[in-house]
Amino acid sequence: MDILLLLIPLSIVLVCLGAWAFRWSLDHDQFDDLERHGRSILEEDGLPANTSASASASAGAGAGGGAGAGAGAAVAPVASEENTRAVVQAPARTDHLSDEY
Amino acid sequence: MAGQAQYDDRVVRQFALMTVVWGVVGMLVGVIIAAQLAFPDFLGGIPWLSYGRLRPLHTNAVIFAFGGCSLFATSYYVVQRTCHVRLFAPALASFTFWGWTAVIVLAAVTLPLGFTSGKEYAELEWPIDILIAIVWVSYAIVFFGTLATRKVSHIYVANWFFGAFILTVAVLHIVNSAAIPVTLFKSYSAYAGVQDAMVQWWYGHNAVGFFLTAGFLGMMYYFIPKQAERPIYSYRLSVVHFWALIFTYMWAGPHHLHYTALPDWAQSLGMVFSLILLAPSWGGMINGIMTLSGAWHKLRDDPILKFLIVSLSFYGMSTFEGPMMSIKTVNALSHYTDWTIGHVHSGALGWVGLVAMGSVYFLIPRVFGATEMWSKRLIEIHFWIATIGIVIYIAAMWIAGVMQGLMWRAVNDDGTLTYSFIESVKATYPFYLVRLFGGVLYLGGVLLMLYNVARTIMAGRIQPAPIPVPAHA
Repeated sequence: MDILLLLIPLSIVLVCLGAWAFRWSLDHDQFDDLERHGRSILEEDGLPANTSASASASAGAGAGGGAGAGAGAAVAPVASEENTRAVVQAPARTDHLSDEY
Repeated sequence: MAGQAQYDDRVVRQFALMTVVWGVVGMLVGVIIAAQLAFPDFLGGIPWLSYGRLRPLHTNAVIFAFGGCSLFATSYYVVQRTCHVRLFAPALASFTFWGWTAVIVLAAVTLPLGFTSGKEYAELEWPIDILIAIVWVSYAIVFFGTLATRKVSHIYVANWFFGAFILTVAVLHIVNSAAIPVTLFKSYSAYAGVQDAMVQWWYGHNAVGFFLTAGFLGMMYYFIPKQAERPIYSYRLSVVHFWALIFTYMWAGPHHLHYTALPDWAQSLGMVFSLILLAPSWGGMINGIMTLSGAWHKLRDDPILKFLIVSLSFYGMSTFEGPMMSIKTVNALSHYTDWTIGHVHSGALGWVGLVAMGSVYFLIPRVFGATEMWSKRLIEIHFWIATIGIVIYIAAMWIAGVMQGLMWRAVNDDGTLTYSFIESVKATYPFYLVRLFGGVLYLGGVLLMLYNVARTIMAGRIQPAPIPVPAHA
């Protein structure tokens, strides 16, 4: 089984790479607020320009094409603006932030 | 917001469309070879269309053409949307499309001509292997470059799955395809005998684990929350799922070599690692399905969600069945029988196929400027005939496989075999017909999808999708 002389070191290299990536993600606050990160993809703007024009033209009024103005439902478009590196240090709960608008 | 930056969706459109086209081609070839098992001469004995040449064409077309294009399309879409940035090196991204298409066309030409390296799921000869490596490294540069230039500090879990898939497949492909060329169309593996077998299944099973699982889990973690309009049940669990999977996957391969010349301890090691995999797999499956917790009604009238959620049920089934089949005593019955074919197709048609189709149904209207798919009803019909087709297919193969296993091991009182091999072949004949019927249903579903996608694209007007910008920027 000479082949193990290749495959085992290769596995060790890959595991070290994984361990390094895990360490990196710990050091770069990848796991700081898992609740919010899970919601983040729902807050982005994935629609084509024609249907989302209102949302990008006016963040507050757009509210996902009239998905509802209630605080809970209105999280989506507002938070899409917030979920960027520039403001990522801001208080995490976007539903509080939505009150500012 | 004039002059706002836009996502680079051209390559996503190309790959998404070709996913459906190659799906039709690959599954048509699958139906043809299923028919050949029941009616060996129905193509008139033309060598280029013989089973031995079409079978690798089928596996390459469905795994690397259909599955590969869906992975390219979704990963390019997801990485841009979750990082709020355009693709890094758009020209290179475009090259990955044309390069990958060239690989597929070359495979479709060389495999029927009989050019093969003889390594399962890695049959393509060395010049094509080099092209694959170049395309794959370009893919890695585009994907990781996009991640590196992201405008969002958190890397969404789907990108971790896509990243692990891209990186690992690069390593697997390069190590397994190492060969010594003799002529332009012929090479010999750099490894020999059982060493070659070990590398082959180290590659083979990790291709299942990283190409057909990790990549598609990335899809699952993005498109299920998006389509359900709910966050994943537990984001924390999805992170645990990722790290558990990548740290335990690498050594399951030897279970493909039970009762062979591979040393016994290596076989047992493969079995133990395969059993361990049940835990992260089911963690991920439960996490995806429970996303609908409290909103199960969405499943009733959303056919795309049906695709995505039922794909997870098949994922759960096959990741339970797989570890069970890797147990050496179970494998003594199942090995070399059609049970294995049933297992593979419950994963391939059920998990990989359905999750990819659900994701493409989500993608197509969004990237082609339509509000939704042309016909929701056709998606619903596609879902049902595909699901019924899978169940018919895998049930037939389970019964056939267990029957073959029992017939092969049956021994008379005097120690002679009860059945000759050909008797087990004759007994399998009706199940090959049933399997063919299941396969035809599944192919019918993809044809409906192609029609629906074509109508959606014709109705759509492509609009650039703007990248969200910070509110106070």
